Order: sequence, then C-alpha cells, then structure tokens
Amino acid sequence: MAKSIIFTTDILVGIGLTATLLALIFIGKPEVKSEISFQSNWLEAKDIVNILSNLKASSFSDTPTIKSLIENGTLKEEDLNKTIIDLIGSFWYAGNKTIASNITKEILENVTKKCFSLQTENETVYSSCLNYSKSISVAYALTSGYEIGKPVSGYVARAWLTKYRKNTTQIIPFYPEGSGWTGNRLEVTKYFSLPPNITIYNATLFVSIHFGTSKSQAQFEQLVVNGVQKKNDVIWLYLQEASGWYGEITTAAYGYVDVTNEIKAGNNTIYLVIGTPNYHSHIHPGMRLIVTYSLSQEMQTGNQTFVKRYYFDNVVGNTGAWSMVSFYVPENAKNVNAKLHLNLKNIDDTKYFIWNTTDIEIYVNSKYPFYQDGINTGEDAQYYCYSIRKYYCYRDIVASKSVILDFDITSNLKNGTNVVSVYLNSYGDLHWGYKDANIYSNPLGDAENSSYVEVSYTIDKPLFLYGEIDLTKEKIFGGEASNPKTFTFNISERESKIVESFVHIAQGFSSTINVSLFREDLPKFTVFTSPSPRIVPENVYVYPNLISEGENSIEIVDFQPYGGISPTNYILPWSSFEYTYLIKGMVGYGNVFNSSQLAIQDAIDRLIQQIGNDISAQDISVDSQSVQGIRWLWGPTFFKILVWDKL
Amino acid sequence: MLMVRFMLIKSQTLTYDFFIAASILFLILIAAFFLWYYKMEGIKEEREKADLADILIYASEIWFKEGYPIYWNTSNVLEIGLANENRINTTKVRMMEELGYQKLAYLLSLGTANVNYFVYSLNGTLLYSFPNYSMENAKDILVLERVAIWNESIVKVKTVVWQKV
Repeated sequence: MAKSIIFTTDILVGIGLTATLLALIFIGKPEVKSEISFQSNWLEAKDIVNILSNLKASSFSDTPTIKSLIENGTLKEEDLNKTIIDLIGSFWYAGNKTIASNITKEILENVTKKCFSLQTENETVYSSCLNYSKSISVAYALTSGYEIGKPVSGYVARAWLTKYRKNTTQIIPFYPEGSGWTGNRLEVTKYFSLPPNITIYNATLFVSIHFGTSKSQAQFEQLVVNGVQKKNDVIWLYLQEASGWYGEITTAAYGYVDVTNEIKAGNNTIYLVIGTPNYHSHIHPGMRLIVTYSLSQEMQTGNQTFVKRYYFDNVVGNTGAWSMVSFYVPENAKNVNAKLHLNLKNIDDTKYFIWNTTDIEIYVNSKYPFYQDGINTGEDAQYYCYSIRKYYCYRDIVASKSVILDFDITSNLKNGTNVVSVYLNSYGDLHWGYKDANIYSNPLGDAENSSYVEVSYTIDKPLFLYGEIDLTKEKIFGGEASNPKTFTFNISERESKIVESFVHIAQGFSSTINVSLFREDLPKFTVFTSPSPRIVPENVYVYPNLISEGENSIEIVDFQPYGGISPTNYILPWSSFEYTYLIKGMVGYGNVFNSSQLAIQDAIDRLIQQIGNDISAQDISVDSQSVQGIRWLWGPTFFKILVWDKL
Repeated sequence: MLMVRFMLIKSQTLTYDFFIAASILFLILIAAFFLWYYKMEGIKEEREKADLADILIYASEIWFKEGYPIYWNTSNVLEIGLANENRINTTKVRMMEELGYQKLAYLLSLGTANVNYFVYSLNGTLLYSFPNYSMENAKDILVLERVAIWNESIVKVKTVVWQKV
C-alpha cells in the first residue's frame, strides 16, 4: 500500500510535464545556421543571374565553346556584344542545346563551388550536381532572345509606292440587243471611254451575232472601229445554224477581231451594222471588247460612295429596237438608289381596233413589265395583230413619237446582277411599225440626253485602302461548246483578295440561263437565274466572297422555261471569268541592317518582289529608322538559377 | 483507539517514500533549470550571430547597389552603394576609402561589429581589400562570398564581419 502512493496518477502527470518541458527546451533551438545558408545560396543565385544578364559574351571569349564558335564563324562580332543569357537562350531555343549547356557549364563552374542549375521553361540547361538538397534557393531572370547572326541595333526601313504603272485588263460589254428584221438593218453604236494615259498592249473584239442565212455572212455590213472598217478581219470561231417559224435558216456566229491598232486611249466608237434576209438579227451574249493596257496611277484610297452610269448602246432597229443592260449592286451596298433614263426616238404608236397597243415595254428583273404604254404585254402581242406575216404584226400605225422617260427603279433592285430590258415596237419574235426605232445613247457627246441606268450606293469600307492596287484579269473558259458547261480554275494566293468578279457568258442561241459557283467546300450557289426567256445578260456579277484561293468552279446552264436543258443552246468556250484583285503596294519594316542605305535597299527589293511583274514602281517612298535593343526569335521567357549546398 | 488514528495520519505524509519522491522531483527541477539556463545562453548567442549575419548580408550588398544619391560623393552620401549599371564602380570604391572606416561603419550601422572586404579574381588573386583591419582578437567571425562584375570580369567579393573580443 505505501509504495503505491508514489506512483499515483498525479506523479505520472508531473513527470510527463517535466519531460515535455525538457523536450521543448531542446527542440526549440533556433535554426540560425540553416537560415544563413539559405540566404547565402539565394544571394549567390541572385549574383549569378546578375552576371548572366549583364556580362557580355565577349567577356568569355576564352572559354572553349565560345572560342570555337568564334573560330568557326558561328559567332560574329555583333553576337559577342550580347549578354551571356541571350547567347545561351538563343542556342537553346534554336535547338543547339548541347552548345547552350556547355557554355553554361564553362562559365558558371568557375563562379561557384556550390551546386547550381540553370533552367528555362521546366527544362534544365545545365546542372552541376545530380542530387538536389531539401533547401534550394532560386533567382529568376525574365528575358527574350535574339537570333544568332542578327544585330540588335541598326536600321530598319519600310517602303511604299506613291506612283506606279500597272498592267490591267478592261472589258467593255456589248449588251444583247436588236433588231433588224427580214432584210432590214440593225445599227448598234458603242461609245466608250478608256483612261487617257494608257498604253494599249492588246485589244480584241469578240463578236457574237445572230444574222445572215445558212452560215453565210450575208448582211454583215459594217464593223467600224474608230472609223476603220474591220468586218473583213473577223475570224469566225463558231457558226451555228437555226431555222425559224417558216423554215428559214439563220446563223449564230461567234468570232474575234484584233483591234489593237484601232482602239486608243480616251474616247472610242464601234459601229456595227448587221441584218438577216429571213428573220431577226441581233447581238448575242458574249460580244465584248477586251483591252489590256498599262496605266500610270498615283496611290489612292478606294471610294465608299459610288454613282455609276450604265449607258445603253445606241440601237437603231428596223423595225423595232430592243436592248438589255445589265449592272450589279454589291452584296454589302447601302443606301442603294437607281434611276432609269430613256431617250427613245421614232417609235410608232400603234392601235388594234380601238385599243392602244403597247409599243414601249420595260422589264426590270422580272418577267412582268415594269412599264408599258399600251393595253397588252409583250407576251400577248400576237393577240393584238390583225395578221402576222413573216414575224410582222399588222396593226394601225397612228403616229410616230419620241419620248423621254424617267423612272425610279430602286424598289425593283436586288443585290447581284440586275437586268433592265427595253423593247420598242417589238417583242420576242414579233415586230410592228414602219420606222427606225431608236434607243438613243451617245455618252461621249451627249451624255445627259443618252439612255442610261444610274446606280448609287455606299459601302462601309473602301473597296481598297491606301497602299492597295487593283488589277483586273480574265480567264477564258476554253474547252468545247456545251450545255451545261463547267469551268474550273485556280486562284493563287497572290490573287486571292478579290474585290469584283464577273462571268461573261458567250452563247450562240440562248433561252434562260442559270449561273452557279461551287468549290470543294462550298455547295453549288446560284448567282443568277434569268427572270424570263431571252434575258441572258452579257455579264453576271459574282460575289467576291464566293471565290477563294485554290480551285473554284463555275457552271452555266441554259434551260427551257418549262423545264429541261436546251439541247442546242451551247455555252461557248469563249465565255470568261473576269476578276479584280488587290496587291499590296507597301512593305513594312524588315530586317535590321548596319546602315540606313542597306535597310532602304532591302525594303525596295521586298516591295518590288511583292508587287510582281504586273506593276512597275514609278515613285517609291521610304522610311528608315534606327533601332536599338531589338530582340529576335524567342521569348520572353523565364530563366531560373537554382543554388543549393552540396550533400 | 485514539492511538491508532494518530499513527494512521502520520504514516501517510512523512514516509520514506514521500521523501524519496520529493528528492527526485527537486533533482529534476534543478536539472531542468540548468538546462533551460544554458539553452537561453545558446539562444542568445545564436541571436547575436543572426544579427551579425544580417549585418554581414547588409554589408555585402553595398557591392551590388547604387546607394543614395545614385552618384554620391563623400559629402552627400546617405546610403552607400558601390555599383552602377549592375557593375562595381571603381570611382565609388575609391570614394569609400576616402570616406574612411568610421564613416563606413556608421553608414552600415555596424554597431559593435567590424567589417573587412576582400575582392579576388576567379583564379584567387587578391585584387582589393578594405579596411585591412587585423582580426587577431576577433570572435564570431562570419564570412560571405559573392560574385560581382568589375571591369567586365567576374570577381569574388568576400565580406567578413566579426566582433572584437
């Protein structure tokens, strides 16, 4: 019982507390030594970063690796002016990791006896010890590097064209238009203007007409280009016969004539006279003048506001006259307005019994008339004839009239291709009256009294910016005449910034047309469908965003209004794709050179290479700047130095 | 009956066991006191060393900072620093000598501590030393070796801080 008193719970608790106190006294010893060691390592790491970031490579030109790099020409004088960390980083990020590692080893192993490691982006450039301590000090350097062989100071330059000469193409379409009936003449006069300061390299007039008899050229009377008769110089490429209601034979002909010597800068006139003894002569789709020329221009910014006039050709028909003007409204156009001004002369005012029959009829993007001056539509003309003989509709001719008509056709417009058709004393296969109906137009001498469509619109940003040069090219379809016809073509990267594009349709006979585009990554997209039979414009606008770099395809189909592909209405191989693309006429700052002169020459060389062969520089502006501390190629990135005591 | 009760009470407090237990407890307490005392002495010594280590680091930093004003001279120096553009400035090193050790000690807030600087090349050649005080009667000597840039070369800067006996 007595012994048990000593070893009570109280005594045990007391001994426990005493033991804890003693333990705390020993455990609570401050770790001054390890703190000093950690601080010392951190200072050493900081000092190494300071050395790597501030000492130039030239200070270590005697170390084996740098010495051999100098000797073999890898390192040049300008490279030795860079800091060691730049040098290590440039080799490391250029993939020369062994060189980077060796340089680090050779420099830092003389600097510290402690363990160290240089790391970047979680990769070790070099580590002097294999085993890490529990306590490691770290110092960081944020840097970006240069490319070996490139100077970090010098001159850079940019250049841009202020005046240039470009080789480009302009296409002047002849609209489908007529009429010369059964031996009577159709006269078409095209007035147009080319820029004044051009040098013409080539001018080719494609002729697409319906005329004559059985493949003969009867009544191919005149083709006068600026006063020079060219009708005997036409090379006929395609002749296709067709028979009319009464079995008479006529010919659709397609040919070309070189008019390079006749076409000139400034104002030009082409006068065409054709006819057919049997039927109705007119111009078919695909008649156009293609002029390739060089043009001097000063650099400018494209417009955002557009007012464009599309003049009718001057058409004198016997009897009757018709013309079909096509024009386009871009898909991004805003505030679109359009007006139609017509100066129509020598129209015969006709009657059928007591009814005033239609002698003037206008269609705007529709098979329904936009305007008619009589009781009937064109489609119904046959019902308002006392008799019909060789396509001539007998009616009472009351008087002759000349009228000027003005219409606002804004509400009838659509984005893309628009077509305005005007018929005087004729429609389809019928004509009437006895005088020379005239759709009057002379934009060169009498512009305000001419017949035209005027379209105005705005776009949000200019078609081209300052420094961009527009070039127009044409790709001929080629191949065989067929229906449908598909044309596949390539757009290069250089040509890929297209701002305007058109399909020029060349046909012999035609009915109703459908034009589509497709690519491997683009389902077939229809850009134009004729609103009614015989509405086949010479050119169809193609949304530029449908054309992209690489392979593109255009499909043209002529179909009958009530279904089915027209078996003999071929699409001719001289159809074409016209596109306008932008080339940059400026280059930015390039490489660094030791002199301003070298930098400028480099900028000019780059500019000339960029603009290519179709543009020649006439006036180049340059801007040269001296630069310091250029960093090339890699970074910014962290480098870190780890220092720890050897185990 | 009364006799029996008295005996019972006495035997519970003043037994041999009690005295033995009390003696052991006192011995433990005495041992704990001496241990605590010597420990406190050790802690004090470590603390002094830690303070000296702080002085050492602060004293070594002058080779890496610019001081104030950045281009100070002997008459306007408020904070001493011997570097400019991450390199040792020889002019400032000369001016440190002109300042004298007492002014340097004041600017470094050395208190009772002393400092000596030695600059070596990487191959161990002594390039510079200041103030060349004898360290014969030194205790608590702390040494810190760092690397710096002087004349576009790497040098080792050894800072020694100690207390006089």
